[in-house]
Amino acid sequence: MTAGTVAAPGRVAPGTAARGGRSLVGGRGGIWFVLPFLLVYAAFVLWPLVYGLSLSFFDTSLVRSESQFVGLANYARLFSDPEVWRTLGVTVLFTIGSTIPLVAVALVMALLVQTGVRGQWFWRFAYFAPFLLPVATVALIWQWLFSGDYGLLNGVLSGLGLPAVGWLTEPDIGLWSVVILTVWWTVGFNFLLYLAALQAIPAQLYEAAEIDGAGGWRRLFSITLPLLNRTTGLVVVLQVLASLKLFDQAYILYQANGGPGGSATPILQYVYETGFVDYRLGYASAISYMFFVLIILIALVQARLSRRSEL
Amino acid sequence: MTTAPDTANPATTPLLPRARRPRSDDGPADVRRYTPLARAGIITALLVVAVLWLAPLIWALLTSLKQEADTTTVPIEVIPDRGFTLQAYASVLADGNLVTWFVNSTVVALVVTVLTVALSAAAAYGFSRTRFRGRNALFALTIAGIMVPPQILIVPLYRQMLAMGLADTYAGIILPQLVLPAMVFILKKFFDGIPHELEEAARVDGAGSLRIFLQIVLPLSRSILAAVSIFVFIHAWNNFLWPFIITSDPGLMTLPVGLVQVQSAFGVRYAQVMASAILAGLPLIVVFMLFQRQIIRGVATTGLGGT
Amino acid sequence: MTTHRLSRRTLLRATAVGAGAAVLSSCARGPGGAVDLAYWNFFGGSDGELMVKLVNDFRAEAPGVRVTGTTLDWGPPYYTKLAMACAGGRAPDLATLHASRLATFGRDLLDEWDLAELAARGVSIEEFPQPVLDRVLVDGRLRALPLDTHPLVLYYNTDICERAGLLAPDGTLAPITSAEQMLDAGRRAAEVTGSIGISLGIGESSHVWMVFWSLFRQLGGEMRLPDGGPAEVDRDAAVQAMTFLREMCDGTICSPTLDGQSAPAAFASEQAGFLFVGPWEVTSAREAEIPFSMTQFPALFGDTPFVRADSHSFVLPAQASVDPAARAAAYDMAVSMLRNSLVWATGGGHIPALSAVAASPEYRAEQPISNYREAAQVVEFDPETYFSGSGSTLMSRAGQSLQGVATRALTPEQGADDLIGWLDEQITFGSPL
Repeated sequence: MTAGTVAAPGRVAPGTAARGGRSLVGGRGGIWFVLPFLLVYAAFVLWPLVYGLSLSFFDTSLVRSESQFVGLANYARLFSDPEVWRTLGVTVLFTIGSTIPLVAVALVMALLVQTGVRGQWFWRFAYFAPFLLPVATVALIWQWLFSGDYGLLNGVLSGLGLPAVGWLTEPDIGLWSVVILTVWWTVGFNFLLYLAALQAIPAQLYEAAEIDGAGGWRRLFSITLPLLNRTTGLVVVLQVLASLKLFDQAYILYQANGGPGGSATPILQYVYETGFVDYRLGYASAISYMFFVLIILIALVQARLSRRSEL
Repeated sequence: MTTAPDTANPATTPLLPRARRPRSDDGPADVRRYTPLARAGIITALLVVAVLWLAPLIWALLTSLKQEADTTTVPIEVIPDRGFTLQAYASVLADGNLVTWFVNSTVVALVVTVLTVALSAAAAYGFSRTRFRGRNALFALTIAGIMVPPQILIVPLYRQMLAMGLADTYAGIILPQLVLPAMVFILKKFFDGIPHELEEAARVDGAGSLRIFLQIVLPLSRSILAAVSIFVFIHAWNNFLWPFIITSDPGLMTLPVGLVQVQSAFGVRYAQVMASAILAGLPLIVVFMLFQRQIIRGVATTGLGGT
Repeated sequence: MTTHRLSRRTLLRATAVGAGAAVLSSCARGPGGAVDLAYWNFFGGSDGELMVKLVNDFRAEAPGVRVTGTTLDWGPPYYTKLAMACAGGRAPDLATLHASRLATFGRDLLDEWDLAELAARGVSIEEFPQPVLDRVLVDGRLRALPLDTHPLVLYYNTDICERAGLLAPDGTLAPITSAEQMLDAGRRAAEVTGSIGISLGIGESSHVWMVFWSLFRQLGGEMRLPDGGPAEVDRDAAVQAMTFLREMCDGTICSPTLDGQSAPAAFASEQAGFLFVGPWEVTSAREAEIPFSMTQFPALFGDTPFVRADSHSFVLPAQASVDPAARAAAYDMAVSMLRNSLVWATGGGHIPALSAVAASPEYRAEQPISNYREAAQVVEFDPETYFSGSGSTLMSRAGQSLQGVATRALTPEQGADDLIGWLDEQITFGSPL
């Protein structure tokens, strides 16, 4: 989605890499290597993509075999459906609210681990292990931690003499509980990406700085962080696109009810509910497509922004 | 569907540890550069974060080891007077469903991994080392697929699977998970970097493309294939949305789906819920403990290109 | 799409015929061959335990049937999965359904019960209460086999009510015959508890909807939701019912911040003299060992104590291929559970649907749950449309309007318009069935 826009200097743009004279050896029968993948790709991505677009012009139902062509009616309805915009708002709020900590905490974790303090295995384990848990495990554990009466979080709060918080019951907090869960669960992934980037910084740079008498903080701000700019750009772009697709953890944490007062219903859950709970597959397709277009637009805007910031 | 970054970015391969990394995975920087005070601060911060990140897991583990009645005490008890028990594990394992889902998850994740890696590697080889009409256009089409979030396809895919009679079948769960264009991209990039001399020599000896692929390219690509396999396996093992949509028969559900959908007839029992949650999460955690280095490298290699 | 004339369902049916033939020819089960039967339900908590007992009773009666019982998460997840399983042709052999949700399953997703097959097992539809029968008989076809009726009921703490002077000489609750009297009783109970008088889970859509729908029907309110709209709703009745809720939720008579868990808990901890909820909370009240009784929810408006109710019933989900042996076992199992429903009634407070059980001396002697058995004759089901019924979108959306009124975020007029406006929007969009 962001291909080419953040390409490393000196890298060949995708699609052109192996073109031209280099592959003198170009073997024959190449199509047979590509064909199996392309067939599966066509059957389970391209065709559904086209089929979904066509569904969005019909009043297709989950439980009825006939359907009527309704033109743009689904799209017209979408624009006046307050629930579409409300759940989109929830999604955007979640994206902003989760991306910032997911990037910042990951960076801090990576910087701390990269200092080389003993126990590398342990730190990496502790920070990355949650990422390997299935979403169901994560949501069930946090349901239990957030539980109002017997949960660990409120237990700790009351131990500190603080009032209990309605993690899963207060409309103003419901979405932030999903953010907390998500940061805990997936920050390890960004942490690894930062760690890989940090390890790629040549040691000589630090050695030179040390000779110049630069202290730890100066090394951090004048060498490390500037060199991580590009990584941060990438991590932000990818995190935004990932956060926009919120569904699993919110759906499971709130057992399909959308959170207190619907405060944690992302748009993909509305698509699911429209299509599968209310049977309106045609309308759900229209919402999906609107969201798809929006995701692409956001990706393009981000690509443009990060290109500008690199100049 | 996880919120970890999951859109491919072809341009990130330079970050690969493989590309240029002067040091080993462990002890990356020189600790002696820090003053004792700074070191103390760093260690404290590392510990605080580690405690925050491990506490939920430890709490879940403790809960799963308690008697049901000890889970809901006010104030909370870390270690119950009556001690710990494996009763909750015995109950959830005796129920049988969990074992079924475990088998389903394993079968699905293994088949998805093997097929995805096979399809992607073959395609990547085709795009990288062979010539045929329309190659560049087809590669561009493949790369464009990175832009399609699988989540927006659930409705048409569901209809399609119904029409094909694949709802509630292994094939129905597996087939739509096999397409990860980003993996094709990553593998192609790697194959592009393999020196051509070996291949030319083999060709002179009369080897066909298939033999070159199987006997030269694949053996040289073990590390990247491992990385891709690890990524695909984690992805498939933890995938929720699609298996959730396409299965309604509890006998066919995967672990994450069954765990969420099917409840105990005896209401919420926290020790049992935590025991099943832990059993579902345990396999990958144990594998991670054993193969941390490989998994971290695999994820870092493929991460920015993953789906 | 319009061109799909050879529909999926037709295909499924065609496959079913083929498969059915195959089953008949190949699957002559020997005397030792066990029949597999998949049964789905949504019962958790105490109802879940009772259901396990009913299933085990059947297992003991029919050792040749291997029953796989599956309990899915209650509410939308259950009904969505069941509908998807039916649409996919791989539904379970037997499932539990709220009778109010029949419309959600349209015409194609459920098979009807064969009255002759039931008669062969000694069950006749005359044995069910008329209002329930009216709901489960669609065009003369029996779509669901009722196990019970569970109406809104009135729980009262006998100790608190005695001290508030609300008991009749025989120790039961003195009759309440009007809204004012109910509010007054609530006020007097609140004086005794020092907390609130009436406990109602305003935050729980199903609880607050039960009360609203009962009052709305007592007020003669009609709600017709024809496909394509507009919604025909008695706005005056809706406003009046909501006005009652608002008056009741003044913080003294009832608190607007209670939810589905805290409301029964408030009653169980004697913080309230009354509780408005379905009969299943009898378990928590019993466990709390408080002095309490239950009675039919009174007529607060009008003369007839219409009361919102639903019925747990059994259905035969449509399958791509019906195995005759499993189908027969499904009949056996459903009938067995109906016959054994005394334990379901006494344990869970539900009124048994089968008259043989409802009229049995054992049930009639059971206190306090047989007190409200007559409610089965005046039950009011939810409006009949695909998005209505227990655990439906209508219930949760109506819950929002009602919560708005109870917490005074909306006036009763605004609440009624909010609900009616939403209903209008839903039905003008056209039914997906």
